[in-house]
Amino acid sequence: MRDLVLLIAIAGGLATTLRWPYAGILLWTWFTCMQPHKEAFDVGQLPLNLIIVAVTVLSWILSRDRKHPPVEAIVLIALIFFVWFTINTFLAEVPAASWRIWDETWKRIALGLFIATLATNKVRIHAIVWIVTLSLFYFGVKGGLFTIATGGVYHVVGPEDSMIADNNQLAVALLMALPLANYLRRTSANRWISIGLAVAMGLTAIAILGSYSRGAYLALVGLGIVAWLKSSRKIAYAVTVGAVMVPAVLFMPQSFRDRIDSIQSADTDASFQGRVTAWNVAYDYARDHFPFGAGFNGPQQPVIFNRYFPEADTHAAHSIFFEVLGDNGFVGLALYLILLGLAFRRTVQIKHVARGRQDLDWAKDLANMIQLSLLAFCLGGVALSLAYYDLLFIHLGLLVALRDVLLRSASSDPAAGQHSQVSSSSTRQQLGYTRTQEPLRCNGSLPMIGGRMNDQSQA
Amino acid sequence: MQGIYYGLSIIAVFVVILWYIRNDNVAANEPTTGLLAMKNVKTSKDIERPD
Repeated sequence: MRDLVLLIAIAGGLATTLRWPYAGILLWTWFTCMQPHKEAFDVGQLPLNLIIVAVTVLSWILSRDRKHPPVEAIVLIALIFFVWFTINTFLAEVPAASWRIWDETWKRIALGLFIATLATNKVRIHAIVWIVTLSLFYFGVKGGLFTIATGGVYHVVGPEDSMIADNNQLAVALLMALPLANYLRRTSANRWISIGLAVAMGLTAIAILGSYSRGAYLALVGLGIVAWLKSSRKIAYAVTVGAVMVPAVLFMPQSFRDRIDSIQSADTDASFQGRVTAWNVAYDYARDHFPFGAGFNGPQQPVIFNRYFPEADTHAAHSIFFEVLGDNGFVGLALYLILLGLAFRRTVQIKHVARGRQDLDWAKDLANMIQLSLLAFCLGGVALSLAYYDLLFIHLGLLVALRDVLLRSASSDPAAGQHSQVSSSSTRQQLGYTRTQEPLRCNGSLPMIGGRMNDQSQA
Repeated sequence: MQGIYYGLSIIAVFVVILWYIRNDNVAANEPTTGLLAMKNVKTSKDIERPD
């Protein structure tokens, strides 16, 4: 039955995509984040994702939508990163293991670039956020209900054979989704939608507790503190979070408290020591083969891992930073850190530009929540392997798109300068816009990076 | 029960797609409509002339 429902849905989605290419991007994002075909039975074997991407690309080529992303730093660094990890994969000591991950990673970057290219207005950006949140909250709400129903004695895990199959990875993915849901809650006009999202956020937080992921617990605390510091209503925030989390923590069984207590004895914990060993392998390999790495998944291959620690059991990197270092060397890590740094910087720039513009409150909120989501990724990723997670590249694509929309918005509100003291030119300056990024003009008025735009500015 | 939950998740995704199609041509300063409508925005012009 699930197979039939999914196939009908996809058929409808593909028909829609032929007319509206961006619907295909939304379907692609859905398949990437939720992998609904793996929740079904027989259709999980079909290359549904490939079909969706093929139809989307075909429809996009034939459409009048923009044909390349805005030329800016995030896009350029992402492309350089792609070239670099491709070179590394060619040089990998265990090519079969590396090319498999390469094949997944370039598609994630491609999705980010497509989002950057086609999310040309607030509706499209908002729709992506909805799809990501719905996809991840599918597991969050289910995991929260499962935790409550079973008294929290079982671990919440992700969908099999996916990047978030592991309890730790799922927990960080859910943590990243929480700020996005909060953005939707804050910007939704429908009161019932806002209430539903608040309930779903509570259940997802409980699912994170039910994951028994110590790294996610620390990230949850860190995220909560930063969100509180950024909140304009600190007392209301503290009361609301306390009203959800205190009963949830008290509800959890003794095994949960034992798990938390074990964080304090990390230096003697075998699991933690295994991670430190994996970090050493990543660093030593990158140092010995400077500037290259071992290729995707290279350091955890016995032929490499046991070269440095002959007696030890092999471990995955268990840190996004050491994962990139071991896979792609110091240059790869530098590019990755630059990407993250640019993303954080962009969120700050967007918030700065949108400040005082009530028509851009949504953009300020979204930049704020993407910043928190990236923070959750960095905090949670300190101790687990999730470096090339889809949501990172979706965030990068969204930030590029958001900047582009703001650049045009600065020109579209003629009264903006009088009320917000943010003129079009200063907006461009604050968003890192340079003259070299203006190869074409659209309708002779707005600065366009690229060709025709399929958005309201042309309507 | 899980099948219903799965079906609802698919419906939710298509609600988003339909919402996007319905609102894609809404101007930047115009309010979106429908179930997922965003809160109404005030442009600088509105602030200038609240009535």
